[in-house]
Amino acid sequence: MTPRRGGTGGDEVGFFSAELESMVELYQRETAELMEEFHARQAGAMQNGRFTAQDINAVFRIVHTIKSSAAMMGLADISSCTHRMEDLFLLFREDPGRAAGFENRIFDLMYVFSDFVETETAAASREDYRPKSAASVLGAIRQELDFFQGKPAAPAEPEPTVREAGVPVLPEPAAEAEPPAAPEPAEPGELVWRVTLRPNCQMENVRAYMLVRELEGLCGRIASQPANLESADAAERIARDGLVLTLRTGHADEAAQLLSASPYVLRVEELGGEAGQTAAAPGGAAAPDGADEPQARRSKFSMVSWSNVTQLQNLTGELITANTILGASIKKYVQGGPLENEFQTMKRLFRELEKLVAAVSMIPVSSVVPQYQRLVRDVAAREGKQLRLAVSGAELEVDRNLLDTLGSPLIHLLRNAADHGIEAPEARAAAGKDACGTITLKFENLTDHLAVTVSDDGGGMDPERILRKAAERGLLTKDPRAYSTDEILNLAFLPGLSTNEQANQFSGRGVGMDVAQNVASSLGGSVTIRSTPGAGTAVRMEVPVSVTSSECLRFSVGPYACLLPIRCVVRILSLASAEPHLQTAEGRRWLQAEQMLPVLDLFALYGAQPDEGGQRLIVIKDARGSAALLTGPVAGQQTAVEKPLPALIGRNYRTRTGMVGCTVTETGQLGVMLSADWLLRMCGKDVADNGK
Amino acid sequence: MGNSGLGALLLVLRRQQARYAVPAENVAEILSLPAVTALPRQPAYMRGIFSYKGRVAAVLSLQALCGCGTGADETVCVVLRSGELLIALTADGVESLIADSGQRLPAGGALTDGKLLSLDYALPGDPAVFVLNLSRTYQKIESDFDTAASV
Repeated sequence: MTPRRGGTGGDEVGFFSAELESMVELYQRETAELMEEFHARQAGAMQNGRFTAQDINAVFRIVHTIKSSAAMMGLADISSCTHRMEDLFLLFREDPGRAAGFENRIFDLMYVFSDFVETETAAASREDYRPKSAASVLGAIRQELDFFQGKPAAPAEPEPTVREAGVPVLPEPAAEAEPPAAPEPAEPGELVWRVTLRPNCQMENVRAYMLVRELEGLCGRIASQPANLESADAAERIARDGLVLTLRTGHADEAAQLLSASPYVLRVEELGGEAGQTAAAPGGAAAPDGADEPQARRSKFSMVSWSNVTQLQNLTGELITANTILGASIKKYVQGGPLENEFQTMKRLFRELEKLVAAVSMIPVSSVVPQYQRLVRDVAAREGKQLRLAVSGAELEVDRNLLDTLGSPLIHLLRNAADHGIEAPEARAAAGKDACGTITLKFENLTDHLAVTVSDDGGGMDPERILRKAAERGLLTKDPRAYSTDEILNLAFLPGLSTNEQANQFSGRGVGMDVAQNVASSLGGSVTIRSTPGAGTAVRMEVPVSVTSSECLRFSVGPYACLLPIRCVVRILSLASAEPHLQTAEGRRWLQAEQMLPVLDLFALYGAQPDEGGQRLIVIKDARGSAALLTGPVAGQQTAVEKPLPALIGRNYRTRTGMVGCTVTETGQLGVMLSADWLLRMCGKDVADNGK
Repeated sequence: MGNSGLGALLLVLRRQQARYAVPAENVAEILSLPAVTALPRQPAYMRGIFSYKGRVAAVLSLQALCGCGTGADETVCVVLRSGELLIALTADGVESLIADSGQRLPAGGALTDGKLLSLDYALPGDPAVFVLNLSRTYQKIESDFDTAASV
């Protein structure tokens, strides 16, 4: 367990010893999980404007756990930092009133602390990793400790870390070793269990601490032997004698299940207490002596690497595609019969598989909220504004890839709102508004779509200014007076159009809206903007929730096979039957339906020869509006797994053609996936408004 | 896409009388001409796209990239991969795998700065073998494609 101190002996290449090296990944994963909870607690406190006792306890427990595991890994600087943070939160735990009114400085410190811990933890797997000094972080924590302890602030000095070359660090070595583990006398109604950890599970005291921590929620009282899990010999004693727990709980079965579910627990035995039994495993089956763990002891959960989940998603997509092609062949060559029945069974099974894979890929929206909280807070500090981020729908679960993809546009939109949407406090006060501006990040589940809205109660967008800027950049395509307010707001989606006089390092270069639109389109969704001068702006992205497959209408345009999400298709008409309702005005054709719909001729757009006789008008609709597409014959409906177009085919091509991806059609050939959003954009001002 | 260095293996492609080489380490597979889906308004040097092991690759004609033909008589398709980039190049044929001898023909601007193809150097021989710089060639094509699409 002795970490190598690289760079001193000349012949040593890594920081960790071979033994510790094998534990780096585990350490990183556990620390990352703990830091995720740390951020979630911080985000909750920021949302509420105060720390609850649960927040304080949770942060205390988190830093305590990281302290121990970092010490075991020989990461003295992280261990020292977490030790001091533990001291600070111990103060708050003893007297929560100390934190009241000073939350902002605590939040600041938490960011300084988490930056250091996360950067160092992420770097630990690098071959050339060398721990960085935590002197400045320690100084910052000590300053806050002094402040909250009522001491005068002392100039920050590097705090010595508890470290000896070649020796793993325990931040607070116990003065005396505890006596051998013996069950604490159980009071009436209490249980006494011995938990035996798996041999060589490493860091036994840390595992024990985490188990105790998890059990706390189920127990009125919990005591452990060894009592001090940080003592120098705790790991050794637990490995030898087991962890003896005395519990007062009304949830014995749940507690036993929780212990059994841990991947580190080999056996749980009841030593005494309420039931007065010994050597029996709680929660049911007895553990066979000396045998490997029974099936019931195995964890219900297992860690799976994200790349494997992504591969599983891709493979599922490929299977669905292959099955679609198979289905077309069966339909063509074998009409009915057992083969078609088997195919229908397979189709159902693939649907089940797709749902299951989708469920595996889901993560709660709340897991990404802390980074947005921080972003808004950073902008507020930098710009001297008072900002509050209100989040709704954080409990929704969304495909992780989708959430990752939405990350970039959300960062841009939130920065725009914080930087430029919300006015300075003086301006807000002058307008009779609360000095603290509110940015709302709202996630909504629309069955097969996810809607994400970033809105602010700021000054709103100035249509005249947008129009002027667009004119200066030569982006207007008609007389400025002919633009409606919605059309003007949509100009904000054009690349590089920013109405902000001054860009800063984060926003104001007209990138954000462009990014939001591109991402939404690439996902087969749309983005809309609403703004009221003086009242604020809302940008709403709607994207399909399934990243695996979607139901599409397949049709041809000359030689090209095209697909469009079926949800955007309102109606299909033959050109011949629609002819009486077609008019020509302002240089283009219109379909007279409930509204006048502009007709977008895809043959002209793609330079294809029109199909004689089989032309169709496909009426499409999305959040942007409605229009009719002039196409060739409709081939039918199919489940399509979208694949991205090659990177070589750049953005210009996509925006000029409305093609955003491709898919394997039932014939085995590739077809192109069209974006209703882009096609409607091509209709420009003529797109029929959906009753807005 | 990486450049080949001294001692690297090169795959030689035939384009009529000329010889071009690509770093063998970037060759994922050599196929007979696959079924390709043409895209609307694609440039002349692009044959279309095809599905390769679950991904979609653009298929480009070496003949057309050199500006001397439509690629109609090309018979092989070389799939090239480097990192995340995937592209397929069709040629008249694949000739041989050779080791880079390290010898170089003097390279001038005309050799290295084609409209779409970018060459690293040429190996002496009869005919000489032009070694493609895949990375720069890719960038040129990408830029040309985007410019053409915006017109």
